[in-house]
Amino acid sequence: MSPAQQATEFPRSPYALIRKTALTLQRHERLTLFCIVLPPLGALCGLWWIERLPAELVAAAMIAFGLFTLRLSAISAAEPVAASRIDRTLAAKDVFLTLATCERTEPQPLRSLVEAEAESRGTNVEARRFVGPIRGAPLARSLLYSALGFLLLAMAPAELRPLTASESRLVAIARELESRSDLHDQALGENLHDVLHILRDRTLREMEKATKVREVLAKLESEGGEAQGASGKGTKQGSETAKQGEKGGAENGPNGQGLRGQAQKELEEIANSLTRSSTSEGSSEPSENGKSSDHEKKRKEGGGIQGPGGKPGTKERSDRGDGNRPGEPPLEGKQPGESLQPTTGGREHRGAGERPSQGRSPDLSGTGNSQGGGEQPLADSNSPAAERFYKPGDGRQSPRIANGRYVRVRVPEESPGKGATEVVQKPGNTAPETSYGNAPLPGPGSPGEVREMQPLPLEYRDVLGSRS
Amino acid sequence: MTSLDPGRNEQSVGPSIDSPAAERVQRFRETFSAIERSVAGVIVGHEAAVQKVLAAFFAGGHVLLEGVPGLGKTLMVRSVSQALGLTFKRIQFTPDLMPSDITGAQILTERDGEREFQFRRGPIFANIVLADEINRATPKTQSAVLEAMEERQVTSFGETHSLPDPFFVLATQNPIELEGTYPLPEAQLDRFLFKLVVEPPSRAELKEILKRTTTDAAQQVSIVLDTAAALDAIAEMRLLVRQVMLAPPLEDYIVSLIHAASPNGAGRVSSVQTYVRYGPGPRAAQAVALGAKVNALLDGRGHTSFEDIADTVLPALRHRLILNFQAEAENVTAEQIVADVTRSLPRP
Repeated sequence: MSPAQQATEFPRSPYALIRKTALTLQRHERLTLFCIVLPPLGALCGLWWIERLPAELVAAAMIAFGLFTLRLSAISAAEPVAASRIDRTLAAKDVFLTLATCERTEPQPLRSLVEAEAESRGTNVEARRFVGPIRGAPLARSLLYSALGFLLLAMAPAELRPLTASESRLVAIARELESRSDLHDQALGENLHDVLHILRDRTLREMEKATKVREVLAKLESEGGEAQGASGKGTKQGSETAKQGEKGGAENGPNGQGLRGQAQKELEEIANSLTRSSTSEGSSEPSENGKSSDHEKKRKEGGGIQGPGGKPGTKERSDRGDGNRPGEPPLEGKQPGESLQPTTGGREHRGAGERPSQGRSPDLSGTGNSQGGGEQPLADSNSPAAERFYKPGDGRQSPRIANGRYVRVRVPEESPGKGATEVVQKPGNTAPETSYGNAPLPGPGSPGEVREMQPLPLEYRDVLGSRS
Repeated sequence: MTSLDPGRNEQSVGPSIDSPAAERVQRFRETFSAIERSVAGVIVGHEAAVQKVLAAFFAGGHVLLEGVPGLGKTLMVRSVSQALGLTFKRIQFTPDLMPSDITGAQILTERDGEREFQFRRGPIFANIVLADEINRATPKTQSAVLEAMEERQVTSFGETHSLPDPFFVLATQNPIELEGTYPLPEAQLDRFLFKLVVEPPSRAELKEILKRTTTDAAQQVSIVLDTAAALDAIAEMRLLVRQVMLAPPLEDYIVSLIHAASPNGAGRVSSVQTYVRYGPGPRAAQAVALGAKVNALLDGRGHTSFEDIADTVLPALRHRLILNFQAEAENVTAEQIVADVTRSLPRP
């Protein structure tokens, strides 16, 4: 190495050596810190990838880590630290520390002596000599703790998972709706909360979640359509009132209609993202995917919930899994009893080893997992038909059903012209046999025993009559 | 003997430059070594004690020597004073010693037929004063030395008399004959820069003592600094000590040390909290810093290091830690607590 090169390579004065060592130390500290910070960042990214942490939180953590690393490296790599390293390496008895820390502006009669001693200790030394290798112990600790944290967060219950931005917005809308006096708004708020629970349910697949979200979305749309229809049919005064309502909604911001619009938007976004993710992950399950898309197509053509939708009984009926799920087009042209027959596909899926419906939510994905139950035996609670009912504690969106059984009812028919008397058809004359009621029925032999064959009360005639 | 040797390198380890600063440091080292050699011609062993006595002298402090009788304490002090070419007085402290016996007194004298009071200077008016067995005098007499040690002046009958410069008190006390003694009060103990414990001689040292004292080969102390030049040389050396650089991190270390040794200080260690009644004060920090600076000069350096400080901590702190009854009952010594404190503090 030439002297010129040496002059550029090695600092000549002790102060230059201290400065250069401090810089080298700073770079080394940053590298070490980067190596230490890398595993937790990787764990955060992994948690984001498996959707256990929202992207916002991961981004914030990464920024915080970055700032912390910069701050820490700036602190630890000050010149006194570098001077101490040099002293220790060269056994210089704190001569470099003295030069690095004593003010140069103060008159020090012996400074020249100290500087000369520092130079005699050897300033022609590479600064890298004073910087050791990257410490392995902190790195190993960082790896270990990151792996543990990743596993803990990955296996933590869904309730502990932080909310994503869209989920947070959904919660805010739901709370706002629930705080309103309007019963419809409150019901919608509860529905949104249920959607949130479904979204955070790890046992459900993306497709199932998407279907559930779309159900709520369709309900929301249908309610909005009914409201618009009602206002359209009204008088001039009614239309004016509706206009005023819309205007007020636009002006007042988060009133009922505005919140509904926001909720619709959020739900659409969530449903779309879930559909996208289910499409991407569902490439290995073409049959389900196909059915789902068909189902979605049908739903779009059908225009949402029909039949008794909008009435309180609709949800219960759909939750019972009676074959007419919300969002599915009505089974027109069929008798109610026929429409409730289980599909062959559903049986095939059950036979093909699908997860049993017990212990989880009813199948809402449109894959035919739900079973018809109209022809199932009534008294045998151990029969497969019993699986159609929720177990106690299941089904967040539906009322709790326990020990349900099917009964056969006879639909009374009105005899025209004889409005005063009611002619009840004999058993067997009634064409449809449909499930009715979800309350636990008294067992055989107990007071109030429900017989297998019984007439349908008149007040439910409309309900069943709407199917025919 | 307690090892107080700082591990001073006799070879020059400093830079071989011809700067005035280097020359001053070199002169300091040569003078110091010459005095040590001169004293060593008379005193067998006690090299570390002699070095600390000289260090305290050049740092501008006083020294308390503790040891059993017959170890050569008085001879050591007399030899140092002779080598430095300074005036020396010895005061034997006894229970009936009065303050005026030390400081001096107003004596009625007659001059030209007129009687007047004239101040007769006591033995304290000397450059080096040996207060032999200082704990045998009453507290009243001991306190008479207080003003002299700290203010370097004596007040008698309203008149203040300055003591000669340099003024250096070397007190000795006997740790075994405690009957009829008056232990030095804390305020007076704090005025001593170092407390040195003089240990009995080793086997080889005892043989050498026999050879020197029982034959006609008596050694004489050679005067290193003649009286005319001594004062200037000593003043220059004392100035040089104070010009030694002390890095702020080392200052922080000294402060942490003092706080750690105080029962109410921040960062105190558990043994201090248990056994120490009163901790060291600001004079202790000054003593550590000045002693470290002398050590640095003796090593040919213009700056102090951690090793210089570590070497000075024990003699500077041991007499400033006032232990409680529990420590006495459990035979815990100040030396053990100082060792605890230095162990507990990380190196800067």
